[in-house]
Amino acid sequence: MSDVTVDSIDHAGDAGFVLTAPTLTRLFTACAEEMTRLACPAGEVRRALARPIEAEGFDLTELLVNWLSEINGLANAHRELYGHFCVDDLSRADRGCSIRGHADGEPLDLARHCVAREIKAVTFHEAEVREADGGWSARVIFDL
Amino acid sequence: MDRRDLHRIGGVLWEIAPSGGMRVPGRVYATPEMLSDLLADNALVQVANVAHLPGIVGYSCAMPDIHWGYGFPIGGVAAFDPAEGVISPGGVGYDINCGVRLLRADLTRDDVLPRIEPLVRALLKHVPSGVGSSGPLRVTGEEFDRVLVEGASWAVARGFGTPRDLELLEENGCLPGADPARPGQRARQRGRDQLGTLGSGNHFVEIGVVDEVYDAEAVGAMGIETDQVTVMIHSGSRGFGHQVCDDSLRIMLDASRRYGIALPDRQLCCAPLASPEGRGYFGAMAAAVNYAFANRQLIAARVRQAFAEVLGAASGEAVETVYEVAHNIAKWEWHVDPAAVAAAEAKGALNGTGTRARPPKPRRLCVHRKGATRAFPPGHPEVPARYRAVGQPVLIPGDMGRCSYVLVGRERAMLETFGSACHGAGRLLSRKAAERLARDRDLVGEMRRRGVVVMAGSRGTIAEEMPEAYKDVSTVVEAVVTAGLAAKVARMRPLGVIKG
Repeated sequence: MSDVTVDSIDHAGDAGFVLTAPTLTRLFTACAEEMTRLACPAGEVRRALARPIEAEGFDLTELLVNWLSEINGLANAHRELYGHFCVDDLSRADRGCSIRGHADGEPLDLARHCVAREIKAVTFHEAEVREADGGWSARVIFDL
Repeated sequence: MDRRDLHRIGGVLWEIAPSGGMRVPGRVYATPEMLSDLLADNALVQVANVAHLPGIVGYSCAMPDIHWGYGFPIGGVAAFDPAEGVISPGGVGYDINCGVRLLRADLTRDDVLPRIEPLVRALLKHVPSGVGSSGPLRVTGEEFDRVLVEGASWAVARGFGTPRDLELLEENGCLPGADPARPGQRARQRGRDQLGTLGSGNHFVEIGVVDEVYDAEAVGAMGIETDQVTVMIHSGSRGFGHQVCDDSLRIMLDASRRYGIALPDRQLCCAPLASPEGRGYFGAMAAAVNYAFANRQLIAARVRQAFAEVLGAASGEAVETVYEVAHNIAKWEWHVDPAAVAAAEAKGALNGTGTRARPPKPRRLCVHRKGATRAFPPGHPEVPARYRAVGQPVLIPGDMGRCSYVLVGRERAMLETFGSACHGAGRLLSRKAAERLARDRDLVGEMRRRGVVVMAGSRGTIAEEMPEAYKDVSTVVEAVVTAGLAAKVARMRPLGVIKG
């Protein structure tokens, strides 16, 4: 049974989700996994390469959007697909948060990866990270 | 927000009165029938949010194709004072200078129909389409800088089109003020092999036929007539523009905090126009605007190639540009304050036709159009000489099953909306809802039975872009015409479409 719940947001032109996870680091990795699923709902992503991911943000909400944007930007720039994410360090303070981790995946193979849509960007619109029911919740909307 | 928050000014014009931190009212163009869809999502809240931004002039406007975006609504227009105002990447969007080009072919429906399937296939072959599409052209280093500074003329100088094309593009296909040093390395990396590619989502190339003419003088100026074949191209600045926006948002979030700008939505982050961050964003955005101009110029060249391949060299050479508009952009333009116009009209200083007896003085403003089209009237100096007597062409694509329109701008747009009109049909269904509706349906077969050959570069695109996912563009156009912002010139029906 999954430790994560996901509800999709029916945005008029684009797409998003509200995701809950038991810990903050799991929230960040699960959001990245869900973003990959949004672009590529089916097809195994092999662990053929690893990219270090670093991001900063004024607060946890900005940190999450910047973390996802960094992953999406790298994937688009290098034409790769990542399916496995790990957070090595996440630190937060009142006026600044940072995250360090990595994304594992492989070069994009349109014949094998069932890419349904392009994620142009991760937006700050209505984005939110908050503590909820002993765990953590995130809301993110993507520009498709 | 609910129906009680909308006060009817008259006709299709509604006002959201200032409340909370709103500095100006919101003004929305919509028929009464459109209101229930509008109130069902957050688009009207976004109109109000835009009205919070410093230095906004007159109104936060929304066109009849308004729908829920991020930051600005799609269909949003706002202008800002150079001294007090701000510039916001959320007022331009990720797909910087997404826009539409209309081409005309020297062919009729009967010339094309027997070859429509191979023609659509040739378009799909020549115009790389779909998720992450890349093209054969790879541009790097100083040559890439030239694209960012020169725009469409970069492509023409390399044999992709003719100087005649440039005369008929908004800004002549090149926005001044681009700073090629501003976009970062990742943006350049994403953009290096995407020139001349369509992309995915709602981008398309559509072969159509003129089936209704409303204004004989205007169609004469545009060189189109009933039964003539046209081609519409909808694309933008691809991954380059997306990355420029992404990088700029991070800078603007810090800038908003530094300048003490209260934001109702982080996506509206911004900086004063005169600040280093504001000028920096304008330079980067203008570079992406020019990338998009070059991109559509290259796609137009590939459309000509497809026509030549299927219908003969002469048919390819005879494909001419009618006009091209940008619909995600921020630009410096001269406009009157529409609130001052409304106040003067209320006092009877102006007559009801929009003819200015004692006009408020135009000011230089930074106009943000996010899913909205410039719609300058007859006589405006920025309208190409060819169209100055009839007004600037306003290109309004609909969905892939119904129709598209050519309009021309009218004086009323200069008085009310900073010279702007709608940009399309506007989405009605979310992508997920469209997917659900499309399940177990043969959409390609359905479209074929409606007389439209559809091919797509990405799986899932046809379902997400099905006709039912959009408002009926005719109702949107009627609202714009009723408001007096633009006038109808011609309607086109689709014959063949490639989707991204």
